[in-house]
Amino acid sequence: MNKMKIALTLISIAIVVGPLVGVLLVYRDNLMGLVLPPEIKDLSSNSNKDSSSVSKFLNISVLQLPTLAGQPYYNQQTGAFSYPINFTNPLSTEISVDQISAEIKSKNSNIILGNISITQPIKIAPGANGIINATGILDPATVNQLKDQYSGNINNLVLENVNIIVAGVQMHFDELDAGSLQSLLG
Amino acid sequence: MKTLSPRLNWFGLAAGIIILIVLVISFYVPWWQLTVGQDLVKVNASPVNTNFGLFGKQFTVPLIWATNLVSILTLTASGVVMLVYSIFPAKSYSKELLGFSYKKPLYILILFVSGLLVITAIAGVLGFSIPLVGSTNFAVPTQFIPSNFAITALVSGSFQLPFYLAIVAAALCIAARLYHQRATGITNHASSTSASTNVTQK
Repeated sequence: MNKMKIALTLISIAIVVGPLVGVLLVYRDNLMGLVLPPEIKDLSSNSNKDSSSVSKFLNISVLQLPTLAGQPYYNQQTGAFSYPINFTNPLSTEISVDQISAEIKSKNSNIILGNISITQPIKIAPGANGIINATGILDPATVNQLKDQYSGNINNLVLENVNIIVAGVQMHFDELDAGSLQSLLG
Repeated sequence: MKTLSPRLNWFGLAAGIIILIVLVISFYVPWWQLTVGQDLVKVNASPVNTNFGLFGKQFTVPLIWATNLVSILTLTASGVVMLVYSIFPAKSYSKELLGFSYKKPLYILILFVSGLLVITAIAGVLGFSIPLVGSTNFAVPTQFIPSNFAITALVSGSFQLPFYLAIVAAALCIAARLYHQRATGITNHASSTSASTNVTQK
């Protein structure tokens, strides 16, 4: 074996062994750190498998549920309403909210009162809040019927078949609490 | 009479240059990229620079970083040695230089593709369908999310320019190996012709 061949073989070995031994030495006290970077470790330590609620899951996956912003509007004659939603973009990249749609249902009587959706997609800058105006129409006859049935107090509204498309990810909830939406109906 | 001597192994020269170009480009452009949604999850995979993006945060895995460093050094050595060989294909040590350099890009390419195939196969077994090329709608398996909740996202995978350049580089390396016999043969023929001419003159 000539000198050139020996030198090239040694270079080949050093190239492969050097970096691997180096990183093993650096992480010798924390071998899990070799395959589990701190970013993933943080995410998995926040993840509590026991928590089954949607909001807890969304908190660990960074995307947060939209919240009500400002005063909802409801026209009792036409049934038209608008519902301003605050959506926070926690990411370092711009995201678009392409769709929010749901059915509004009275859980007590199992009657669908109307629908809610957003009129157009919006883009939200990194770390910023975006106000999305969700609009819809509640059937006035059904609302009045329920008011009569429950002595003017409709307090068990839920959002059903909620579909949210944000940042290219589609989320579907079978049912969500309608929250302050029912305050519209008095 | 002058004999045209191929002083260079042109395939090797092209291979050496392309290997170094692939190396430089791969720092900026991955060989294969996977995106989920609007860059919510991003995997930039290449033997030179593999990193992951999760909700806008970039990170790398130390063990993968070390293997990337192995690939960087391997491609650098392979490219440089291939260039040196190509310029001196008829030297006594040229066969060693060629043997050292021509197989490495092919090995890196095969290991990279094999790694991708193994990872996507394992992901498939776990219920995560990852397309190597193209797009698919990916539904998060129900065991990972709460009941009455579903998430689907568009997952896209694609090979990028450096991957195709690496294939070209590997092919040129093999061509350089096949051309080696011919190149040195013609050179030897040229030198023997020159030597016999000298003898005749004497």
